[in-house]
Amino acid sequence: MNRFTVHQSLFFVFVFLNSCIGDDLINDRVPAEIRILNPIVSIKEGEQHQYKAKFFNAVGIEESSKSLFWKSDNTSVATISNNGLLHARVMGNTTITASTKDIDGNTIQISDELEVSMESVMENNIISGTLRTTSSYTLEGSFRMTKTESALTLELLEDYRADTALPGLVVFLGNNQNTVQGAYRIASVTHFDGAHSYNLPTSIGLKDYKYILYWCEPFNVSVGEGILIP
Amino acid sequence: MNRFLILIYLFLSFQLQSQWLQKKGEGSFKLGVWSIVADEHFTSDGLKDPNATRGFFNTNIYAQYGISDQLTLVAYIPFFVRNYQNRQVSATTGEIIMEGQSENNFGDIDLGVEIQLARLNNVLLSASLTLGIPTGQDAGGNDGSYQTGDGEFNQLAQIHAGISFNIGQANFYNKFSVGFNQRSNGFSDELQGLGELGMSILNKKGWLIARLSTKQSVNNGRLDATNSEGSIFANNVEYTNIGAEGVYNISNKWGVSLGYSYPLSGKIIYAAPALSGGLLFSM
Repeated sequence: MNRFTVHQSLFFVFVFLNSCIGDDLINDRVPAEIRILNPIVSIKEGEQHQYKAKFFNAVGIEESSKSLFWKSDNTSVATISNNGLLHARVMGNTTITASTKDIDGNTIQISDELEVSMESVMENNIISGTLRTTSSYTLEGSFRMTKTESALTLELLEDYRADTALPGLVVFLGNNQNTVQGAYRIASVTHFDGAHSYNLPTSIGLKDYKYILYWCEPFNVSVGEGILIP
Repeated sequence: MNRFLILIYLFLSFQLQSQWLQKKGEGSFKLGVWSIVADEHFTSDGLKDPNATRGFFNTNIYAQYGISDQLTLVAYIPFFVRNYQNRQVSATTGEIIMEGQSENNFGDIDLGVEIQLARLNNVLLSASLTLGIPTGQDAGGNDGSYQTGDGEFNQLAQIHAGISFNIGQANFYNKFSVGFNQRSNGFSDELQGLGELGMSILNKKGWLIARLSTKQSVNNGRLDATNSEGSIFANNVEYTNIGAEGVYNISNKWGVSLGYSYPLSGKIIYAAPALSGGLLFSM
């Protein structure tokens, strides 16, 4: 092999060693949680309420196979079955708790304080909040998510503004601020200023997702977010 | 956020050993490669933000040939351009969140001509016109961002001034260039500038070259996220780059080069060093 061939070979080794796909490790750990999807403020004496809850693991992905343990602090006021069916017995107050164990054996739980009274009151079907940027790009404004029996709507209000220099901006609903894995992709962003709205599938509940995520999709990086559930 | 990198290197590679025009019938050629791997970029406001690690790899041929002592033809042919992104892997579960992706394609060719305007002893004044031919792919990969070209035809007009001198036993040259790049298809025009200082080393068998270059957008384009798909990656790019290159002549005809450059500041550009290498041939 003459000197030129050696140099040429080294040159192309340099070429190919520098063009291999590697791995980026994403720090995507979040606290595991149980979320009650249909909490109530009060329930009428003698009525029933079927609680719905989901378990989200340490990366914010729902684990539907996870068994939940339901408990009422005051069983004279209300009792609850293993599958979350509440029976309101007499007027008074109690706290309903759903719990389970995460993959590390830690107890994860959530509570819903309620009153057994003369009338049933569900929690508000509107969530409001403010977008904030998580990057150096502009993203700001107010939002409102509204659930009715026939529609789920995400509205961005008049003060909404997003950077037009940012490529591939997409809006998601997600449960993990650090990744859009398992998130619901709403749409590519085409509005960068002012009020607009997205109509979402009615199969999505108001409490199914914790965040509105604005994501630079090509470069897999968070641009901004709105918190739906604190 | 990729295509502009081609332009950066183009700007640098055009300067390599081209401080003077070629003599009639003579030429110099370079088989070059450059690479950048970046996990952050300069935003449109000039701040640094993270991004999934992307790599851009360019293998090219750069050629100069003297039609006469006053007129040199220049061609830049990026014949293999690779644009790739790392796999995104959960640090919690080890699962792949997003597969890596790559696109290999031809890049945008540049054809140019440089003409001598004046020569006085060791000072040379020249002008050049470079045409950017959109032979690359302006929308690659599943989201269009793996581009190897910007899909526009641009015309770069430059004025160059160079001077050579000696200090002790060492030869030096100094070169300055200013240029205006007129771009089409809604891209903003650009102002460009370069300062270069070269010093002979290793008993004049090589050169050590320091460069400071800048590109500033005129911001007169219409492309942004409201009216384009992937094209904005290459619009309103700005940078001020510092770099160095070493050239070693193995023989009278053959040489090798290694280079390094880093953006001191920028907009819509990777915030990472670029490495380059090349095989040089003179005839």
